[in-house]
Amino acid sequence: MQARRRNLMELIKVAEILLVFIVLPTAVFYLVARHSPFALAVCYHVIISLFIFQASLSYLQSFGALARRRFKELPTAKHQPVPKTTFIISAYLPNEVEVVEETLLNVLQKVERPASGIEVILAYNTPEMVEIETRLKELAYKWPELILANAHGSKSKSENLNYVLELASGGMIVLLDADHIVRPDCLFRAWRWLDEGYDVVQGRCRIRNGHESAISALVEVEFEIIYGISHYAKSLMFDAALFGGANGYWKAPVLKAVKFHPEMLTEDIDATLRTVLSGHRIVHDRSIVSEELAPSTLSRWWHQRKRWAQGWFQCSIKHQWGVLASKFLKFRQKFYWTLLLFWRIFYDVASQFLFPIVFAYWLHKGAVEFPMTPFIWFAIFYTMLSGPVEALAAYKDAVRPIPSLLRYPYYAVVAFPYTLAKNLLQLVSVRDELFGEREWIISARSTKQ
Amino acid sequence: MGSETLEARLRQLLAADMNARDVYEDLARNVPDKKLAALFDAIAKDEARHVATWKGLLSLLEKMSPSF
Repeated sequence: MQARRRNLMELIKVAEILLVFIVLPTAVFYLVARHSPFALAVCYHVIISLFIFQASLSYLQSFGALARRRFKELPTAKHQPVPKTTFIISAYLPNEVEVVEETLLNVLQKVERPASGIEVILAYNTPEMVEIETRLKELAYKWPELILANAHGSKSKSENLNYVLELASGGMIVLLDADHIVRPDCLFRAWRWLDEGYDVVQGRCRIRNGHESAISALVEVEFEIIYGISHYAKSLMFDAALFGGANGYWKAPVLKAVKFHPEMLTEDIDATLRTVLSGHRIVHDRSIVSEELAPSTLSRWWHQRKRWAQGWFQCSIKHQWGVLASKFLKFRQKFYWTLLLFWRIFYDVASQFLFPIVFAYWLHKGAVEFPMTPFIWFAIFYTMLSGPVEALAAYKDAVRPIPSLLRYPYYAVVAFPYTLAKNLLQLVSVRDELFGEREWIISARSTKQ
Repeated sequence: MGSETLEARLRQLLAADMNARDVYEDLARNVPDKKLAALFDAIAKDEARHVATWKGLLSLLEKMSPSF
């Protein structure tokens, strides 16, 4: 019932956004058209140009990611052995009961350990004692390096993480979510970057339940694009990367100094920005792979993505000026962050005006017709092709083995409407943030959702 | 028992007692009966002493062991 009510509220918000960004602007643009059809045409071409610019960024990433960067040791490498490493696994019980044991056992049994050893801290909170806690205690008895840290009273991942940072004794700290299965060689791959001067390494996250539904299949390809193409290309072009919340490898002193702010919905992005703005460096290494679960229903997808979008908006407001004024960031890094912070919001808002402009034109003409010129044809072709090109680039560099080739053409076909849906979601998240509505709905995870 | 296992067990105890301290502090703040609140407060202080003990032991081990 609560879920149904929540979904209904979201539909109402979408209706509000459509009213504010489609219906009302249509009326405004109609008045513009009546006064000056030329002005409407200018607006139309400006918006189309934004689409072209955004598509160009997509192509830049897609082709940029084709470059192969093999790890080359820099002169700054100290050749220190991998230190004792702390894995911190965040979990909200009972939601993540089904997946957390598998994640813990994967780290305890399969990860290649450095000579100094590892410790595994399960940072969790739960409203009540659950059966799994007994099983976890048995696990901890068998594995002394497993520490069960119940963050009493915690209401967020940030609070869980901050609580256990006090316990972490490793020189390198790995942050994982409850559903993340890392590969055995992750520590050695990550440490080589930290050893030569970087402070944080972000690995690649791959979806392992793409078979469950149409939405999870879409997200599977999308994650290949995000981690295999977008993050990687930007890391090469701008020498900039971000910590995405999990599969991140930190120098312990840096993480303990940065910590996480519970009021931020995307505590990972906020921590990233505070990290880089204090002069630390982050790199993306797509050879460090972990596998996670995607939401398999539209409702779960919506709530998870809305939280991400709202969190990014929070970070944009909080950090954009700091990025521009930073003495630590180079120009290209400031450009990178401005694309992620300011441009993301600006584009999502401005691109919505394409529809009211077209509707206003139809009203003014009294007919449904499309003003096609060579420029518009080019824009349509160029923009619509960017999604399939991304999908193709993602396929080329996808983590092997690829579960299903069909998911890539599927993504290519739905890329444009999927992008429009995400833009709409972005606007709903801005609305929520402006109205002070910050609801943390736990992304439920199970092997079968 | 090797020093690594000893250290690991101490860290497990530290986490458990930190949680116990937090639970008792929460109870002391929220239970309506004043006598019960005082009792829980006293237990919370006990748990806090356990936490300090484990931290002290770990610090001692760190100084003693070359493997740290």
